[in-house]
Amino acid sequence: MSEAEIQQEYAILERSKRNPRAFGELYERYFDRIFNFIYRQIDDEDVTADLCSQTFLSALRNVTRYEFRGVPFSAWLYRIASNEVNKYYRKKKRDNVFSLEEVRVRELIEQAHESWDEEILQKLLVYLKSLPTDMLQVLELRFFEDKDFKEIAFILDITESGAKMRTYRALDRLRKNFNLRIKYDVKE
Amino acid sequence: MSRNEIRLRKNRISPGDIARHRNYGKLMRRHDRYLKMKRSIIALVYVLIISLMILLYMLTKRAEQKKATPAPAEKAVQTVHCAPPSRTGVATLK
Repeated sequence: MSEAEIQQEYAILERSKRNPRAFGELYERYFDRIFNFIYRQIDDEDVTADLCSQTFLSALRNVTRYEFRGVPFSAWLYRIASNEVNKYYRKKKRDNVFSLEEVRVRELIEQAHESWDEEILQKLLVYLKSLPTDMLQVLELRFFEDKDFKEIAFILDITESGAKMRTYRALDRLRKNFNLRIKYDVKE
Repeated sequence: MSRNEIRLRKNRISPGDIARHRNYGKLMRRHDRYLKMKRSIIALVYVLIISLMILLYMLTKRAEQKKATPAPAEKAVQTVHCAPPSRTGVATLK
């Protein structure tokens, strides 16, 4: 995100503090992304819609308290959404669900120069199931939402080095198990 | 460690499906309701605080008034001493 875009967003936020109607522009801009992010962790359209709505409502209620901390505004929305998802699972006492798009998984495997194979895919799913939730959250933000480590750290309320460590550990295990050549940074 | 369930879905959720849930008007109505409720609660808290302060003021004033008024003089107690009963059995006043 460019400096100019961040400045423009900040101007909208300043307007939203005085007039909540101005927040609509940010709502329209980020609704789809936040919806997809939540849906990937819930896999239920109606529950996702509720949590997404709750996310934007919380953002709107607390917009006056928002401070720029070196990450785009969207990271703040992701953080609220992540908290809403955690709250939902705590309340329901259910296993966490990660519903991944096959298209994206295929893209990632192809990036690693591996041929697409149903067996690899099944092994990958078993491997992902063995990972702890915090590691899966980092991987989701890194490879499905294309977030950098600074944003991931902010969203999950961990340190940047913690975010890097979780990603590297997960990828190291992935390389050992599958002989994949996945880059640490997909943007490189 | 919490357990995770990994699911694989064929397609991304379509923009049309997401658009069905996008409704800023509804969100604003919820926000307005929240603001109204918040204002009502703040007003109620103010009313309670003011009532409490008035009550405290009145109690203090009453206590001060009680302190300021002198205590009534002690009433003389008329004592009647009875002589020990005479042998005749009639009590005589001294």
